[in-house]
Amino acid sequence: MFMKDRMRSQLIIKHTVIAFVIIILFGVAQDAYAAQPLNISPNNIPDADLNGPYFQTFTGSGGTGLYTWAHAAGTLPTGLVFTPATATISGTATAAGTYSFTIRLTDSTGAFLDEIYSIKVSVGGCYFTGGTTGSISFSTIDPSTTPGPILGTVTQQVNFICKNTFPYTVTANSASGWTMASGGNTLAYTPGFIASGTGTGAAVPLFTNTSQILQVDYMNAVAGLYVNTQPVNFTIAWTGGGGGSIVATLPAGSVSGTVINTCAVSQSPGTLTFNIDPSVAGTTSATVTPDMQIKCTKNSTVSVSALSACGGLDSSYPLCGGALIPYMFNFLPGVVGQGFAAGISLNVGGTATSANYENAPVGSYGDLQTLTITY
Amino acid sequence: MKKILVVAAVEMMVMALAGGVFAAPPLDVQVGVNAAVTNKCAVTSPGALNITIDPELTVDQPFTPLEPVAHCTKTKGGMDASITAESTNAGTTSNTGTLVGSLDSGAGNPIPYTFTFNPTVVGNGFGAGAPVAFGIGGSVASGDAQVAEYGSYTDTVTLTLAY
Repeated sequence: MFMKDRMRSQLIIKHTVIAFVIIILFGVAQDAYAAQPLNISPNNIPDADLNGPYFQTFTGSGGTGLYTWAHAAGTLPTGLVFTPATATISGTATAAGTYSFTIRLTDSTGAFLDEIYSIKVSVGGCYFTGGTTGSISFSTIDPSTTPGPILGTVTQQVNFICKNTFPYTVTANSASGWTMASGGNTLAYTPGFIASGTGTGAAVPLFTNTSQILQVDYMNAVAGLYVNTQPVNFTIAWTGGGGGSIVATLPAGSVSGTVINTCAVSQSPGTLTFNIDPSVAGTTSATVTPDMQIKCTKNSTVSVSALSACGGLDSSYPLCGGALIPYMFNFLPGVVGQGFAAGISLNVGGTATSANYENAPVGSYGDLQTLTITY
Repeated sequence: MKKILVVAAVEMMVMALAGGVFAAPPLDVQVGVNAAVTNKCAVTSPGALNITIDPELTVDQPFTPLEPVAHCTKTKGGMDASITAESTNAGTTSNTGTLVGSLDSGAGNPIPYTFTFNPTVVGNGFGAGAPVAFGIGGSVASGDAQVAEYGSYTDTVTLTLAY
């Protein structure tokens, strides 16, 4: 019993395979000798803008011999006409409404195909071609940048199309104002976007790479990652044809930038010059004129270290190894950044004691101090 | 134990990232330091020459010098400070190391004497124990001493150090 069923299954499978092959061969042979059915493309055509230009071409395929086109039934929008010789609909739609009509394609054998189309005629305006949310990045915001402004880059664009040469304007509003926030700190910015224009039917990027932060705003910013905490809406409003508006958005968190900790020398130091009279007992002091000043990111913790090239005032400087006068190189080892509006003096100076110079040979001495400012 | 090590490593990475996110590289600034040690000599205490002249002696009689204490900057190439001596009474000057001066009592019978000094000195700096030696000395010739009148005689010799 088991063996019999198994044989029957094998036979069925074998017959099925043979029948499938025959069907495929038959299908190929039939397609090779039969005409393609008539077809009209496109299957759908665009709607028309009220009082806007309209043009649409149809193409036919399949069938036999020459084609003949006709507006077979229905009503075209007022102002639009079908031209059989060119298989086109053209003109200016002058009445709003939805219109259905039939276009007929006939071949030389008399076979024909009717295709029903619909055109909605409405007031032309603006619409988005993709998403309606964008994003802007200021990337790294170096508060020492001068003169500014720092520009942002569009990282996610919103594109829109306006038709009918209607003028449009874009207005932006934000519930929290034009600010980004980092903790309790805020940073003002201005978004860059197309403010106005005239519809051309072509896609227009809403945001531009002109978003900016002014130097007066970032120069005293505290370090941190700043983002907008409230969404910003951009209303694209057009006039003409009754007018209308659409809205795009910069969602909360989509405008961002990082203020970095940095320092810059705002006043280069002069040379620290000792005029050593070896007969003077006690100490001989020297100051840098002009004094060294730095500007650092507001509230940043700045540490300063110094490294002497020769380990003292050296008579062989810029080489080292000559007669050496040890001295104290003085500076502020740490400061708190005050932003880039005002410089911070590092109080660079030096002191040499008579015990170290009273027997020093006459001559010129030098050293080089490298101040490393870490923040 | 292995698990604890892994956690510690991750924490270190996070700390490193957090520290570097908002910071630019350190800033190096160089400050030039210059110094000039000037040539200088200074007399810290004046000297004096004293002599008690015995007219009976037939030999030249030397002064007992009290060396003035002076310091000069040590010079690299051994540059010397040159000394010029001038006798107030005699009006004579010398930069050779020998000056003929005149001791005067005010009574009109001066006693010539010879004032000796080092015409050049090398600075040794201003540290303790490094004074310049002027090599002060002098004498009254026996012939002049024998004819000297009784009295107290003085002269002022001004030493000028040029450096």
